[in-house]
Amino acid sequence: MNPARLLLLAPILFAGPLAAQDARLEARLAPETAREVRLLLDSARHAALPTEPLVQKALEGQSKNAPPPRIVGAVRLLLGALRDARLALGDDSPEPELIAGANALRAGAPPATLSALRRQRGRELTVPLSVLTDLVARGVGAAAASRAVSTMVGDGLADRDFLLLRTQVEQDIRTGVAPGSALDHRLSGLPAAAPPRQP
Amino acid sequence: MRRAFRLALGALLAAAPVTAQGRFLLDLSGGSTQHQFAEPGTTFSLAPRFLWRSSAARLDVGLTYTRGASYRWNAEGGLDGAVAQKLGGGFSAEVAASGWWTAHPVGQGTGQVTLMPALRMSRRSVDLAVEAGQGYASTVTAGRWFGLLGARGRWFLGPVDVEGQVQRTQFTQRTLRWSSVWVPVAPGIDTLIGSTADTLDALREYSDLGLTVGWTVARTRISLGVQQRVGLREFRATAWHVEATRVLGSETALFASAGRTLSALTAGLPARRYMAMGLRWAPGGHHAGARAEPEADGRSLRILRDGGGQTARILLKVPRAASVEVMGDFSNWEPLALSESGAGWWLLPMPLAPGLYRFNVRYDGGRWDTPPGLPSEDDEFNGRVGVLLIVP
Repeated sequence: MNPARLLLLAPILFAGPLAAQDARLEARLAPETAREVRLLLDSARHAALPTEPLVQKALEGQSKNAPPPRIVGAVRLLLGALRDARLALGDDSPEPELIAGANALRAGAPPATLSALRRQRGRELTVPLSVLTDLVARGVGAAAASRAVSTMVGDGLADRDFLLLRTQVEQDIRTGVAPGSALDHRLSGLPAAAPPRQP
Repeated sequence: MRRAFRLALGALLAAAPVTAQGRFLLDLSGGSTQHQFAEPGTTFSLAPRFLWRSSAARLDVGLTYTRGASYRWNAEGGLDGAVAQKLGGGFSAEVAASGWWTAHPVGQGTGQVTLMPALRMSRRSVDLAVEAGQGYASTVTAGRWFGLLGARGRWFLGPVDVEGQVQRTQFTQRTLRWSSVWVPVAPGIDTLIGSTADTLDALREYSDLGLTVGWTVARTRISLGVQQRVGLREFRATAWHVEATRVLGSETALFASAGRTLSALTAGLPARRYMAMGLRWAPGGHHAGARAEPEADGRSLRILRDGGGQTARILLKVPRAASVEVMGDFSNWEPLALSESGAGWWLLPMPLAPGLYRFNVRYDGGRWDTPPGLPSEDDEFNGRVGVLLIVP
């Protein structure tokens, strides 16, 4: 099995049974909050969207003592991102890819980028989209990260190339290179470190 | 040639990104450099510079002011279009076309201006130099450059990266030299005693070969490099450099470097030796809305491969902590105590499959924080959450 495909399956591995999701909500959320979140989960199921990320978002809010309206709002936002990801990636998009797409959208990637990626690449985009999200979290601008992933997908690069790029950018950032420059230099194959001025 | 190199102490201010693809560099450095044909001396330089680079083009504009044993200012600008073809294993090759100009008056009372539009892999370029020696002599040089062709490759082998490069230069230089010599005959009165003019046509050809090996581990990077110029005997030379960089925080790094540079024939600059130490500061190195967490108080995070590489375990180093807990989407956002494994290391008891995870950490029952060394994002609950991508 291609190791990269394990990445695609990861969200499924952590997706518990539906009944368990509801039980988690009932046990930890206030009744009214749980009811509102359940409604959102029903909407997600009706649209054949994954519900586990929504449950996790609600639980995160509860654990961080967020007020109920904020928890419901965050779940609603995530549901919207999943819907947008579905629209951009198509009805046949598998669940891991949808989740990765929603994460990328929340990170700031334009929906048009996801649509373009789908047109460019027939197979799953979970790894490229996860790398896009990771790059943004590391400080790379969303637009630059989106452009980079689009370019690489357009070049027909494999999942391992995306993972390699992400590792290299991480390495450069640790040596003090600005995230955007690290990505830019790695893409162009040039050394990332700005040469120190010699006196 | 005298073998005098002095320890240089400097400060380098660098790398404030102004756009996602551009960055403004402000270098402030001081120290000593020995040029081949000049007395060594302590120098101080201030160098603002703007770099913009995309996957297909590069813009580089800079200005350097140096003051010390002599003073020099230097303005440079360039346009560089590149076509990069990414190959397997992280190797990339580059074919570039560039335009360049530079200007650098040198020395007290003397001046030199060089205009050097050049087109790599191209047919022609023009080199025009005007030099005035302390007001007493002038030289005008004009030439045509026929080829500047370079290639560069870089390989990554875990923490080690190896970069090789080659640049071949072939040109015909036509030099028109006109000189005038003035002799002072009385205070404030100089007399022209003669002038000469000659021309020179010569074919010049040489290649620069370079190899650099870098080693990066945690926050330290060490690189060693050697460069060899081959071709006509007059051009043969060897250069080398060694550099160590230690990242102090998200915006600062300490560096030390030493080496010998090759002469920049196209710019008319001689070879030099140098040794330097300095501080690099990258203010605003991260974009608003997302930030990379600096490691603090010796805290760090490691990913430990498990299960034949199919899963991973999180190891957190937290010296002097009595308890460490995490909560994230792998624990249904319920606190999970890490077990202490000695020397300040704490181990997450559950293995994680490859995937994207979000989690927070707290020490000794304190407030929830982002994990050390991990990027983070807004958690939509007035806080931040660490983002961990575990790759297969």
